[in-house]
Amino acid sequence: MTNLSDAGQFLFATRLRAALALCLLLAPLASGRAAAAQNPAGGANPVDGQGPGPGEIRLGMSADFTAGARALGIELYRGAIAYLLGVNQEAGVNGRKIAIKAYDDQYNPDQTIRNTLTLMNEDDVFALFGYVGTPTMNRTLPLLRMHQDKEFLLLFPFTGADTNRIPPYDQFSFNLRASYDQEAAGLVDHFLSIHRTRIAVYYQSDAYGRAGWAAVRSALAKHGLEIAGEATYRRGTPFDQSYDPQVKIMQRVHPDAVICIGTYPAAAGFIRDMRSRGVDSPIATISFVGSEAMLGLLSAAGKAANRDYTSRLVSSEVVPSYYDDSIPAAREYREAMDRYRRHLMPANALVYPDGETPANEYTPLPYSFTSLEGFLDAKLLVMILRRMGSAPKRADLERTVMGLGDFDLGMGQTLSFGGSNNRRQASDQIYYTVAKGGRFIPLRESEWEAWAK
Amino acid sequence: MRIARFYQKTLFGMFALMGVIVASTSALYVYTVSRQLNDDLQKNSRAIARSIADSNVDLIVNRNYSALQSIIDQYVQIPGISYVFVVDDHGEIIAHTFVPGVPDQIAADYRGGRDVYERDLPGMGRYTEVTAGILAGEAGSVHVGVDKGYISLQVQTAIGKQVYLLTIIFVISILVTYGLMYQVSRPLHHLRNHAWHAFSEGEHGEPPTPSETKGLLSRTDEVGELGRIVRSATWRDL
Repeated sequence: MTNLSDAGQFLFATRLRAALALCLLLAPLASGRAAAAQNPAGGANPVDGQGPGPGEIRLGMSADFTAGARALGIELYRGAIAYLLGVNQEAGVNGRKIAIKAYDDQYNPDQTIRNTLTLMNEDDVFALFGYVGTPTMNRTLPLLRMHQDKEFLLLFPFTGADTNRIPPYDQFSFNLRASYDQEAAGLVDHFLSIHRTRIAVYYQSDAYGRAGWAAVRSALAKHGLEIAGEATYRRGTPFDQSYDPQVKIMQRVHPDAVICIGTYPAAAGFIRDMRSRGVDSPIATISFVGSEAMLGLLSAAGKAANRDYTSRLVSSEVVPSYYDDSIPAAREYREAMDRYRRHLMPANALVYPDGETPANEYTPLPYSFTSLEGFLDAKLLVMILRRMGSAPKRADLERTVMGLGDFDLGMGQTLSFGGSNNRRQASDQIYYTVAKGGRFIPLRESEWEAWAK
Repeated sequence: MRIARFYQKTLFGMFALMGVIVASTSALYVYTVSRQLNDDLQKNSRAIARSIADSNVDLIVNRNYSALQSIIDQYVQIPGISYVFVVDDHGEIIAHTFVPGVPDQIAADYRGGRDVYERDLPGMGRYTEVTAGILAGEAGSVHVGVDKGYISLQVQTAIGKQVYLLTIIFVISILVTYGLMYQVSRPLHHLRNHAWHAFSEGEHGEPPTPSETKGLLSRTDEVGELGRIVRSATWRDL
């Protein structure tokens, strides 16, 4: 990757802004859809409603960019763009630049279906990439099955649910990250190892929550245990709402630990109310939560209430800590995020469809596990595309991915696709982090003992 | 505008009859609509439970709970369907739509094996819960809760519209009836005035105007006949 000089950066930024402005002006005329935006990830050759040109490979993304889980969609997008910007500046992949056509689905499965149909039928994207969420993905997979003659694949969705890992939909998707089953099993095993056997689950009342609930249940069943208690919340419940009904259920259960299968606003609200009512069991979240966004909410609430809401929190992640300098991908990621910091936000038409106001302003995170995952997703995608030559065909994508075998993405571990097990999930690694000093830092195996019962 | 006193009873009787008709029609309507809605919703919810049980056997048997949850989440978007939960072959709830959790009353007796449960859940409302077995009950069951409050609301809305319409009809009927009564009773007033004036030899009552007398005496009905008899009687006396 070539480092840009200041002048080069300025020229690039100017061109990028001009291209984005052109996109914004033309997008409504070309497609009449205010919720869509695209980033040519390099500033050159913006396209409007046409099929992939010879100079561009277009990917289709549907995620929440404006509603309650938007930090996930925005950060995943930013991480992917951070990698693609660098690639496109170096003449792209086999001479072709890579663009992401992104649509907002507000974490609403019905909107995801509409976006996917648009991406497949009108935008004719090369592949679907970086979808965010289980309920949204669950409704997308039957579409891919219906249109399997078009050979669309869903690459690296931001979910660890089983649905795209088991028949009949496993053949329509590839995953980079470990599954929720693996995350839950790891958390359960660690809690049991420190004698915390009464494990309760707090989860989102939808497919995502159910996937996590099932993962915890299955992990406990392997030890002859059952879930000690459970409480749910509705998808999209904001941080400001009271979570007392859920906390009351937990107080009745007296759990040794709670595993939280939620998104950052509802997870943070629940943790705040648990701690406010004196329930101090360790609370674990899984990778989808959006750890930094959750920590931001808790820190601000704690500051206002003069309390510490961030103690005894552990988060399982499917990517390593971005502060771990021993991991090449973490260094590469931080470097890219720093270099392109000002150019990574999705277009305003996507994030602020009704105009930017102080109330809906999104402050991008310098680094996050979510954007690191987006960065690694993009890196893996580029690795695959490089193997497909200058005229990649959708029909060849599955064979190419399955032919990757073992590979190194710089994560400090060997990843693999295909092989004798026909692996469609590259990584099995889970990383545990703990909130300390306003950020999540790696939790070493020996440190679990401090939470022993 | 006054009408004859003996007609006032008739008018009151008509109002009372109208009230009875409105009340009995409304009661019958409430009963019919409520029963029909209850039956329809229960049939629909049974069909939904059957549909989930029959078409998602693979998901249930293969323990793809996430996909199963996606499916049941769609059904609670149907008006009147309040909750859905699925029980596996071990009697455990493997997917549900409750927030913040499965109500205690349901947790206590959902294994009862009944086809229909009538539930009154504190803080939630009253529900009719229908069930359908998965693989004839071997693989578990699907439970669908119908909100009775929704049915009541539908009935109240329908009744409200009907009562509104009947009230308008009632008011119009009263005005029309009152007008007709007035028209009918006006010659009687004239007759009364005519008789009163004639028999009192002009000492009491206002004398009818010539046009009123002419109109009264030219009538071919009983009132006109009575008028003519009064005139004959007073002339003879005179």
